[in-house]
Order: sequence, then structure tokens, then C-alpha cells
Amino acid sequence: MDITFKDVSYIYQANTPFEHRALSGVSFHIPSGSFVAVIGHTGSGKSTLLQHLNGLLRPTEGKVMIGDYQISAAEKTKDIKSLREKVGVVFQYPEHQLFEETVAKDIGFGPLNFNVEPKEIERRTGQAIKAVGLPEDLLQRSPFDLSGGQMRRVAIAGVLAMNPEVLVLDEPTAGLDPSGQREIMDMFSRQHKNNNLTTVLVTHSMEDALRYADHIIIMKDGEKYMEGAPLEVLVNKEELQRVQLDLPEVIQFLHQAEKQFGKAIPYRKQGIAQLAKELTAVVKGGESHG
Amino acid sequence: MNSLYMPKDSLIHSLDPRTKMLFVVFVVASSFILNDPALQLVFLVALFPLVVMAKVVKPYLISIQFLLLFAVLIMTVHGIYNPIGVTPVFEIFGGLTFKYESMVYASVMSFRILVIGTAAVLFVMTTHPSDMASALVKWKVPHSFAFILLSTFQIIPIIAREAKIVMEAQQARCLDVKGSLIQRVKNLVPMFAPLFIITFMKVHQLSYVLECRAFSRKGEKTSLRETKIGSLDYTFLLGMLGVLAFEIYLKLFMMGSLHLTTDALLTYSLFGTWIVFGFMIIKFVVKQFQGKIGGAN
Repeated sequence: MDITFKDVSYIYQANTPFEHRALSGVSFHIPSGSFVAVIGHTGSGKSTLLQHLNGLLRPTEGKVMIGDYQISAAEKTKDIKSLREKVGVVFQYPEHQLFEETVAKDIGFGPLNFNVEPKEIERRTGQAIKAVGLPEDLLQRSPFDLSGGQMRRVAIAGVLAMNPEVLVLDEPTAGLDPSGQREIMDMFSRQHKNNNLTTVLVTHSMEDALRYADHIIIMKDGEKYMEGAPLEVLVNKEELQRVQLDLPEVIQFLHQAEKQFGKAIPYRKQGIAQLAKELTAVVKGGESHG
Repeated sequence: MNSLYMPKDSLIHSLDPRTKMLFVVFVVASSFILNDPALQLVFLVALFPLVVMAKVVKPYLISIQFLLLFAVLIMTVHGIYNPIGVTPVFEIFGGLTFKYESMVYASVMSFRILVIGTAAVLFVMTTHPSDMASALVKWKVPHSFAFILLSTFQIIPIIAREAKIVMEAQQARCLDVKGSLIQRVKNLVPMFAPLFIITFMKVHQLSYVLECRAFSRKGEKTSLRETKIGSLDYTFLLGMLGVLAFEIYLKLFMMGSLHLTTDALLTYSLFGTWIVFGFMIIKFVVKQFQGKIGGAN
């Protein structure tokens, strides 16, 4: 589903002493099927932006369009329930939303609310638990007996089981160990490709943004600061530093290599092995000439 | 927003929390000594300069609205239906009669709520929770008890925030908020089960953190925020004592000869609350309406 923001502003607690403008005049367009990363410093309005995507918040000004659904201050969105069925949101620390007696019931909670047939729920539950890389015999256990990482996966499975068309992820790997982070992100990437999803990822990790996204939006103080393809946006050191963001490590490394050896290696998302090969060529080439 | 505390630079803010606690006690005592609507009204008006001095007029007015709601209800319902009333004052449509004795009773009660509410709001808005805790410790209140009080102040906004997060997450999984009563009660489970668990986890973590900082160590503890009773506090305390003495004198020797409360006063204060209440409703409706109009263009 296409996602379009048109001059969206959001004010928390309008007309009170605590009035706070979280978004102002944000516009962008996300074509169906793309993987977008939203990056920004704490308090830049990322999470507020995300809550507009399934109608948890309605913009104070402007319009949000998600597929055929339209969310604006003026009118109540019809059929918000079916919008929420199509937009799956994985919130920060999603393990905190678990509550059922068994893992299976918790995964099935979303689909059940959307009146999915019990047979179908069972099928989706099996699929979802496999997708997040947990063994099926966990299904009958209590979610509270699991480890933190497993709970996180169960919660994510609960969102995947709704078979969403848009997947919205708010720092889904925060607080996990490095290998777990990698596994979960790879899983989202697979889901994105296999199910033809539109994915919106809110993250602090420039590495993740570079690796997975094909479009990047950088937020600053509630406004859109930069937007574009990762290799255009994430190489601009000065611009990024102005919003307290760093270059991804690979790019930093390549910049250094360029300084040291006097020859740039263009980054095209090649793997570490390939990069090493190219670097060796540059280093050896440099030596033979010098 | 972590608590109702409004960090401002004012005379009231710089008072010692103990003085302000005594002030609240003084106001409560006064509101019971002066059980006469006219005197309480005078007292309520006399408190307002303190609110102005503390520079919290706007937030004060916002929070006092809710108490006014009580006042309106009490004054209207008691004025008509309280059986102690015998002397009719005036009648409104449908033969409902406001009676003098009931109105006195209702006014005393509602003014008392407003007076005590004003003092409490003033105290909470001008006193940093940590200052209050350290002041309590100086009064030989056990340290752990002061901490319990302090953490209560802090945990309410935390739980409120967590509740919002959990609710949004469940809404995203389309927890249906409509439906029959039984369905709605059932829906509380996905809300409260995670909330309880999160709260228990937080409290558990907190206890570890406290232990790591030697919370249960015996002996005297110092506080990061020191409070001190200065000349300002003594002036304030003396003032309170003076007013209190005057009130008691008034109560003991002059109550017989003093007839400040009249039908007109009671009627006007009743109308006053109605008018303010009416304004609140109009403001609310206009705001709802504006939201609709403002969004349309």
C-alpha cells in the first residue's frame, strides 16, 4: 500500500500549558513495496510519525493517506479496524504487550480480533512462530516463562500473524544481543521480500538503515530533514553530524581508506569479503605504482 | 510532565516544605473552624493572592475546575433535597425549592472542598517531591516511609505512560473497545495483565537498584536537596498563627453577634458556581466544535 503524508502536523495537548508540537509540516511519499528507514535523534518526532500510520493518532493539520484510507483531523476514518488489520505495528519493547496464558493464544489474539477462522488462525500461528525462528513446541507454554529474546519474537509473531500489508517497526531490535538483532532484522527483510510488504523501520542504527532500507527519511525537531536513497543520504557527513548522527561504519571506513590510499572505493552494498578484495586491489595497486 | 510540580521562582516556592505542609494543616483546620459560608468565602478569596504570588494561576485554575464540579453538584443537590432545610429561599421550575439551612450546609461543604483543594494544589505545585521527602526525614519520619511517599508521586505518571503504550499496542492488534458490557470487561485483561507485569518488574528492578545504593543501611542519611527554615518561614508561620488565633476568637466570642450569611450571599454563590460551570461547558463544546471546523479547511 502506498503511504503519503501531506503537510502533517501534530500537536500534543493542544490549548493547554503543556502544548507541544511534535510534527510540523511533514510531507513524503512511500511507494508500495518499499523498505523505508526513519532515522532521527531522540525526540525528533519519529514515534509520533509512526503512530499516524495506523490511525492511533490523527494529524492536527494535514492528511495521511495509506492505500485507500485517509486520516485527517476533519473526519473520522471509516473502517479503522480494517486499516489496523492491514498495518501491523511492532512497538518498542513489544514483549510488554503479551498477556495470554499460552504463546499460541497470544499470537492468535490479533487475528481473533479480526474475526479470522480458528483453522486459519492455527495455520498462521504455526507459520508465524516458524518465521521468527522459534520451535513449535513453545506454542503451549506461557509467554512469561520465556527469555526476553524469545518473548520479543513471540510478540513479533503476534503482529506477523495478522498478515499485514504494511509492517511498521519501532526499533524492533533494541536491547537484544548482536546476533539476535541480526537474526530479527534478516527475518523482517525476508518477510518484506517474500510477502511483498511495505516496511517502515524506525531505527537508531545507521548500519541497519544502510543494509536494509531502499529509502531513508531523516527527522529533526518534528520536521523532515533529509530524504533519499541510502547511498545519497548516508554519505553526507556534515549534514548528518548536524543532527547528531554518524556515518555508517562501512562508509566511515571507506572514507578513511580513501584518505590513506588516495583512491576511493565506491560503495554499492557489496559484502565484507568483496570489499576486502577491492581494498586489497587498491592497496596493492597503490604500492606497485608508488 | 513528571508530577504537578511547576518549577518557578517565587516566594512560595522558596518556602521550606515543612512550612507549606503546616500551611495545608492550617488551612484544613481553618476550614473546619470557620463553618460559616461567608467566612469561608472570605478565606477562599484571601488564599488567591498566594496563588498569584506562586505564579501558578493558570494551572491552578485548570486543576480547580474539577473541584468546582463537586461544588456545583453538592450545592444544587443538597440545596434542594437535604432534609435539614425548612425555610424556603427561592423556587425554580417544577417546584424544586432551595432551603436556607440546606444551602448553608451545602455551601460550607463545597467551600471547604475548594479551600482545602486550593491549599493542596498550591502545596503540590510549588514543592518539589524530593524536597518534601527530605523535609519529612528532618521531621524524624523514617527514611523508608518518606521514600514510599516520594515513589508514589513518581510511579503514577510512569504507570500512566506504560498504560498508554500497552493500550496502543493492543489497539494495533485491534482490541475492540466497543461491544457488550461483558465483552468490555473481558477486554480489560489485555490491558491490565501486561500493565501489572510491567509494574511488578519495575518495582523489582527498583528494589535492586536501591539495594545497590545501600538503601537499607542504618544510620543518618544526607540529602542532595537541602531544605532550611529561614526568616521567611518564621514570618509565614507567625502569620498563620495570628490568623488561627483570630479565627478561634471569632468562633468563641463573636459567632453569636455576627450574621454575615444572608439569603442573597447563598443565592449568589450558588448562581456563581452555575455560571462558572456553564462557562466550562460552553468552552468544552466550543473546543470540540472548533476541532471539527478547524480540521475541515
